[in-house]
Amino acid sequence: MRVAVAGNPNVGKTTLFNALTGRHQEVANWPGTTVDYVTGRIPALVGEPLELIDLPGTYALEAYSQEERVTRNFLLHEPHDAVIVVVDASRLERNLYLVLELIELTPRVVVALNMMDAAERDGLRVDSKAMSELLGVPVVPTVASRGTGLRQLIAAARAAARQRDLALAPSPVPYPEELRRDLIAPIAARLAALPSLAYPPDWTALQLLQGERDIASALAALPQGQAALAFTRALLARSGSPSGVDRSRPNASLAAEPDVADHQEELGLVLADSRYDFIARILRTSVRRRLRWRRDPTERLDGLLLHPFWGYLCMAAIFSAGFWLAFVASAPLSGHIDRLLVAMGGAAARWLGGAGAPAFLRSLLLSGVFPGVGAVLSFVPYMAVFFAVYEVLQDSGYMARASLLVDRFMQLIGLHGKGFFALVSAYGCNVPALTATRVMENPRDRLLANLVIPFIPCNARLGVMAVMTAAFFPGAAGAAAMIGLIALSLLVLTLVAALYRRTILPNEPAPLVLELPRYHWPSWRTVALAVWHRVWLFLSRIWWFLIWATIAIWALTYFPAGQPLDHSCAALLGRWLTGLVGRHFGFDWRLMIAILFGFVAKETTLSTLGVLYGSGGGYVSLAHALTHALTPLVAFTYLVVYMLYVPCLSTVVQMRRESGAWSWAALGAGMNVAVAFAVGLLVERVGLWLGLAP
Amino acid sequence: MTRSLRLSDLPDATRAEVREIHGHPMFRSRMLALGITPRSPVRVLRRMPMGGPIEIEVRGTRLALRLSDAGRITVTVRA
Repeated sequence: MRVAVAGNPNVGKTTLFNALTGRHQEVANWPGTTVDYVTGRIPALVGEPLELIDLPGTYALEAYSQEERVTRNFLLHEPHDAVIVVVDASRLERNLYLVLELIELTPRVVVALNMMDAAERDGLRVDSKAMSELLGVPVVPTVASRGTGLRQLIAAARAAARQRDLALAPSPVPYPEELRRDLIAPIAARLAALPSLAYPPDWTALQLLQGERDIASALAALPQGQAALAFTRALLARSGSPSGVDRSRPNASLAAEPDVADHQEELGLVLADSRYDFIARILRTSVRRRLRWRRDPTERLDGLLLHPFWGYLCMAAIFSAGFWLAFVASAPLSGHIDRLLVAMGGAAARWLGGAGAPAFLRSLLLSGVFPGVGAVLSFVPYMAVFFAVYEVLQDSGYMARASLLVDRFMQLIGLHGKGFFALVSAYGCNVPALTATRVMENPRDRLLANLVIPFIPCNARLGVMAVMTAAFFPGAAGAAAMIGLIALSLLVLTLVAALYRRTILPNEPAPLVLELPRYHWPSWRTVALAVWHRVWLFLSRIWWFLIWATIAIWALTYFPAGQPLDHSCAALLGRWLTGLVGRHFGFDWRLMIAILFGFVAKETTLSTLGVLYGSGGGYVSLAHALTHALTPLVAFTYLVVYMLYVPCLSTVVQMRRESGAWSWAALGAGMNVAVAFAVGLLVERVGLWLGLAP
Repeated sequence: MTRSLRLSDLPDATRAEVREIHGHPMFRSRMLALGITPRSPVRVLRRMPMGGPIEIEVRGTRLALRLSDAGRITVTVRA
């Protein structure tokens, strides 16, 4: 039995889902989208096990974001035996809208009246029986965070799913009588006569009346569907328009006849109005409100956290603490993992040596396979902490506040307030930052953020920049160089964003419609499971690329076997690249190779440079070797190029995943390379013109 | 006696009723789903600095809207 779990965002749907399914979960990706979803199983002692699908949160069936489209498509097209719709008992007025839409679409709906505890704290007493009678479907009170009511919910879902041939009841919503008589009933009758209509006729009629274009085009593809559409249009054109609704709408180009489109829009309002009237009736009969003199804690907290001065200060403190945890506090762990793998590689190589294995095999293990595995695993600590921080901020309700605070400023670069956290976190690591762009509903906003994030220097790049600026520009000049570089990256980011907005991503950012949910303590199980899913998805995607790339680098430096490093394939490749581009910048083959190999993982750049410049090891000797080999101008140019060009392999793979296509990832990476070398050339020429030594 | 104005111009904490919603059909249907329908009571809770978004309360829910989007919604106030 397949049961879908739907609901508005912020109603505790995922907490409920986790409480129901525990660890019996699997995460996957909806085909053709970048949306992840989780399925879980509830084993049964007798009868069929229950398969639960956690659908992305949605406010209404009319899809707005990609996530909501997934939910809509699932409910419309995927086979399922019942739908559990989770509602927040303390926010019933808006939550019941989705419930009504679902009841009109499918006969087997069970309402989980969640967050009953929060409702009681608000002084609300909800009578689930009265509500169930009015809605005509089972209503089960639950408190997901405490596990209350879960058994009853599952029993109700099973009972509903067993009624396979249950007919769809007429909608409980009292739409205006003349609307039913003149439009809904005749259109539904006409649709019911179609041989292959996949949706309930009444529901389809309502969709057509509201001008729902997806349904209209699905209908047009059916045999005799065109005739039914023409019939609907004729009825719409004939019927008088309800009065008192706005008719002066400029955007009428969507339907063939502007009058029909106008009329559909008015009908959309009338239908929504009827639904909310019905909801008001449900609330009158099933909710008792006792007056409470306690001020809402969410309101009190928002007085501080959304304050025009203290709010920004609190945000800076909260984000700093979060990023410190994710990228600083977790660093020793990554280091331990790295060292452990190097030690394991060494032990394996010694053991192979003892067993008489050929030298190249030992070298492959020591410098190819183990560092590759290390590169994959060293992501784990900070990805895990980062996603934990992200989930806590999201789940507690704070992220919505932060988005609200910064939206005005994010609009300057054509982005949404919700993109702020992703952009700031990119200074830690670009890879999870790309995932964090998912909070934005609009695919265009998300794509724009994905394309510009790689221009933000991450922790690894900042590390290389810090070491090299310290070596070449001692004292205050180093700080100035570093600040100059970061300012340059911000300037480039703004310009590139403007370029994208003027060319391929032109439309204005989507309207910011942000729900500010009440604050609540995140459920640790929800956070832990989300972290596990995200880290796992990332690793399963990246390990293949990273290990092969590390082995390729090993092969380039190892072959031809027995030769010193400056006769290796890598040196050959580096010299060729120097002839091609490097010479215009004053880069020698070693710098070109460091750029190329840095693509696999930026963290390795310093050690690559150390090996190439024969400095033995340690930053001091590397700094010494570099200052002898390069002029400050070349070094600065190098840092500019290094800061801006393709961040790393993992970023590109992640970009492909978040944008949904290799072509976007290729465009982003190509843009990075082109901009990096163009800006580098500009910096170098300006330096030469100022009379600096080449 | 009532007067009508744009939601973006509604003074803080003043009770008003939604009158009309203009703009792209997607925006309008989104507003309906979030409970912003004609006749629904609404009030502005706070404004972000420098022309940033406003926070409103409608049908028991708190929402943030940009000023430009709030300008597409007209409301009536009892004067």
